[in-house]
Parts: sequence; C-alpha cells; structure tokens
Amino acid sequence: MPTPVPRRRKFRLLVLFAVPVIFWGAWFHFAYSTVHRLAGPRLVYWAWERPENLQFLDPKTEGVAFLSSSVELLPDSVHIYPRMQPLYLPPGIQVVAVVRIYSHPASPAALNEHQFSETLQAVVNSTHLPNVAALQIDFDARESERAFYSRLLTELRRQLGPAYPISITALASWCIGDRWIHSLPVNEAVPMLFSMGPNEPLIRHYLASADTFPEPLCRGSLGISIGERWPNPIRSGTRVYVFHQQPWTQKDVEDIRSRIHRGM
Amino acid sequence: MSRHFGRIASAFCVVALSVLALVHMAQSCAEWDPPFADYSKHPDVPIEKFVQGNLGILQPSFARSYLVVAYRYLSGVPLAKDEQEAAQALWENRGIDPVNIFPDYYSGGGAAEDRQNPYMQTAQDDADGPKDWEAAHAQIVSSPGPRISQLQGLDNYGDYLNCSNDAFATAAATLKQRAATFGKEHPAVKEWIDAQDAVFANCGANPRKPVLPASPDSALPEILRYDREYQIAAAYMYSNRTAEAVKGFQHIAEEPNSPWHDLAPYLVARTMARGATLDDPGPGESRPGQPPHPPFDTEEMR
Repeated sequence: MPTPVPRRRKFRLLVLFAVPVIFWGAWFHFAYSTVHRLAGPRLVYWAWERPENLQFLDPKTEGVAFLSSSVELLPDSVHIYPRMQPLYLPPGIQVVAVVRIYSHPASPAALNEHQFSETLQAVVNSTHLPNVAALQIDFDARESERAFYSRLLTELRRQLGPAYPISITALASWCIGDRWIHSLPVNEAVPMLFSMGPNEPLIRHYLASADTFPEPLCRGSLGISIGERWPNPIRSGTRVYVFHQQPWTQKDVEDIRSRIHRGM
Repeated sequence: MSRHFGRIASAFCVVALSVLALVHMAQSCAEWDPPFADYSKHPDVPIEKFVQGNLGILQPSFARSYLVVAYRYLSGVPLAKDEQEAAQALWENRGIDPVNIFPDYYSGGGAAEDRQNPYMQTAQDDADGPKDWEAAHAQIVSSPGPRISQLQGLDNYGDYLNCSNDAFATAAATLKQRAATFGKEHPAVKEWIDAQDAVFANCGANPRKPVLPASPDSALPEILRYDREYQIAAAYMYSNRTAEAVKGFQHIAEEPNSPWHDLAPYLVARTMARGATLDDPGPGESRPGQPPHPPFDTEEMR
C-alpha cells in the first residue's frame, strides 16, 4: 500500500517547481512576447542620399529603406528636399520610403499649422512613390517637438489607414527610460544603436545586461551602422536596419549577411 | 540531519534556479572597434577650421574637394571669405552634418551663419526667381499662371531641378522689359506670357507630352520673334527633347541680332550635358548600339 505524500511536502514540491517557472515565464514575457516590427524581410539596408545600386540584393530575404525626402523645419517655414540621387533595386524587393524630418536647435521651428500641413503632405507624397510598401519617419524630436510629432503620426495614421505599415526611428533612450513613444500609432520603433553621442556607454552597458528594451515598440527591430559596434547577439527574429556612411558595395552587403547569419 | 539537509537543498535549488533564470548570456568585454576616429576621407572636424586654413595633417586619401582647398592654401592663394562659404555649402549640400562643420553650431552662431550663406541650397531655393515671375505675370494678366513644379521626377526614385530660379528671374526681367517697350495691353505681350507659361509647364510635367509655344508669327515685332525662338528651344530643353533643343539654341547662336545670341552657346552645352546625364540607362543596361553602362565606381563616388 503506497504511503500518502504529506500535504506540506506536496506544497514544497509545488513551490520548488512553480517559483522558477514563474521567474522564467516573467522573463520570457518581458523579453519575447510583444514583438512590434514591420512584416517582411529581416535584413533592411538604408539607402541614403547618395547614388546607390542595390540590384545585387536578394528580394526574398532583404529589403531597402531609402531616403525619399528630407523635411527641414525652419523657424517659420518648411523646406522639402526631394531625393536627388538615383537608386537601382532588384524587382520585387520590399521598399520602405524614409522621410527625414529635422530642425535646428539654434533656431527652433514655430511648428505652426502651415508647417504641420506641409510636413504631412511631404510624408504622404513619399508613400505614393513606385513600389513603396511601408513608411519610416526619421526624426530627432526634442521635448518641445514631441507634441508636433505625435500629432503628425496620428494624422498620418488616419490618412494612411490602420493597415499601412508605419515605422519610426527612435533614440535608444526613448526605448529605455524616456518612453514618450509608447502610445504613438506606429508599427515599430527602430532603436538607433549608432552615433548615440554621450549616452553611448550607458546604453551599451544597459544592452549588455538586459539585451532588450522595456518599450515594446522597440523590441522587434534595431538600427545599426556598418562602422560601429553591434549588439551581440542579434536575435534571429529581429528586423535589422543597417546604415552605411558610403554607397553600398556587394562586398559590404556580403559582410553584413555573414555577420547577421552568425548572429552578431 | 538528512531531513534538514533535504530542506536546505530544496531551498538552494529554488533560489539557484530563480537566479539563473535572470542571468543572460555572458558578455565579453572586448571592444570591436579601434578606439580612434578614422579621418581618411576628410579632415578633422569642425571643418570650418580647415576651410579657414587650419589644415591639420593632410592625407592623400581625402576627397578631392578637401584637397583642392588644401592646395589653395599650400600654394599661397588662400580662400577668400566668399570661397570659404562656397566650400562649406558644397560639403553641407553633400550631406556633411552641420555640427561637424561649424564648431558653434549648437550654440547659435553656426545655424545663423548657415542661413546667410548665399551658396547654401536653402538660400538658393528661397531666392526670389519664382516669386518675381508670379509678380510680373500678375501685372500683365489678371488670372494666375499655372502652378509650376521646378522639379522633375525620374524612374529611379530621384528628382532633379529642371527649372532653376534663374530661369524664372530671367523670364520676369524680360517680361518687364517687353511690357515697357510695347505696353502691357499689347496682344504680342500677352502672347509672350502664354508662350512662357507653356515653357514652364514642362518643368514638372510628363516629358513624354511636351508643351510647346506656338511658332512665331511673321507679324510679330522682331525681338518678340527672337524671344519666341528662344522660348521654343527652352521648352524642348525642359521636356528633354535634347536634339531639338540643341538645334534651336544653335540657330539662335548664329543669329547676331537675337538678344539671346550670347547666351545660346552656353545653353547648347548645358542641354548636351543634361541630355547625357538623363540618358543614363542605369547600371548594367545599355542603349541600342552603345556599350553597357559601367557599374558604379564606389571609390569614384566617394
């Protein structure tokens, strides 16, 4: 006749297994559960304002985010610079139009209605370019500009519809402590892990210990540059945007593919 | 004893497993990148000091624009203030971050100076050419002229400036002169405006559907006939009909009485250069009877 297990022992056994499971579950939820990223290939090359021939890319596994226009917010007006350089792509590749919006700290923009509508129009126009499947807004919003950008993105979402993929680039600090982007109506926020300025050591230290961001919008993608340190490892599901200060060559791309394949 | 040992072991397992759950992959402390900046393509920043003659250590690998500036200083022919502004504008227009050009950019001086640089793209784009044309147009005709886009799009995601500010400024100045000569109400002056509207309609319109001014009537005053020939050639140029534009400007260059006689040879060359640029079939492709377009030379572009 089997000896009945005492209730206290049962309880201890339960605790023995439940506590680690709870910890593991909490960690897994924090790290992996909510992944915000645009659908499509995992590896995306930023094609900036320079002649680019990317016909050697693989449309099945790679995409291109190209600078389609730049919007300069001046004190009382807006200046829009269209792309002036050619871009050659293989057929069928995912194309993301990037609009860079910037202002000058020494002469801040008024951010008035005229500037809002001009900026909005420039962004919407970029989505009408041939084969553009998604939009990315690249900006360095200072605190005084955040309401402007929030409104811009809200209106953009309204005009483009709930299904249109919208991405933004984000300072790494926006993904950690200063999470003002949390409620923006976008599909992903790409943490820019290069040219981080004076905060770089802190952010790299944070990533070395946490390897993900508290802000869910920032967890599905990241932006890196060919000339700077990359986070290690890069998760297999992360959508990686890669920047290059110079025109891309096939050798550069093969180097990136190799490093991404190795998870670094 | 064994009972206590079991409890302690159980507690230890719980704590250990819980702690291990929070431990991520170990990170090595090795740095990947060399701890110094590589300035093989450009001088040390801020570049404003370089353009003022503070050359630092020159390297033959610098981009040609920097080497030209260095050559001037080393030859004992320093850049004048005007030339320094032009060089700064070139680099900024090529995408060099202003913070790397102006040491006091974030404290106000750099941005203010930036706005006053006459060579900056922004300053040029804000020039009054199109506004002058609108004002001159409005003085003769009550209805506003057609909306003009100065940019023309290409099928490689790029745009180019088809009609520059100077074209509008020249049109405005010429219209004022003709109106002063013949009077605002003269039918030929109104025809002149219609012809110029047609010219500018090509700036951003579909180049496959060029808009051409009517051929000059023999009854027109001589100077307005010459103007019309120039307008037709310009319309061809803006609609990328290179051969017709070159032929038109060559004809004007051979006509000594045309007010556009001196300018026409320049426009022949400019039209040819533009035609060659826009005829670029793209890397790896070729026009009939021509060799394939060579691939991008990355070093050349750098």
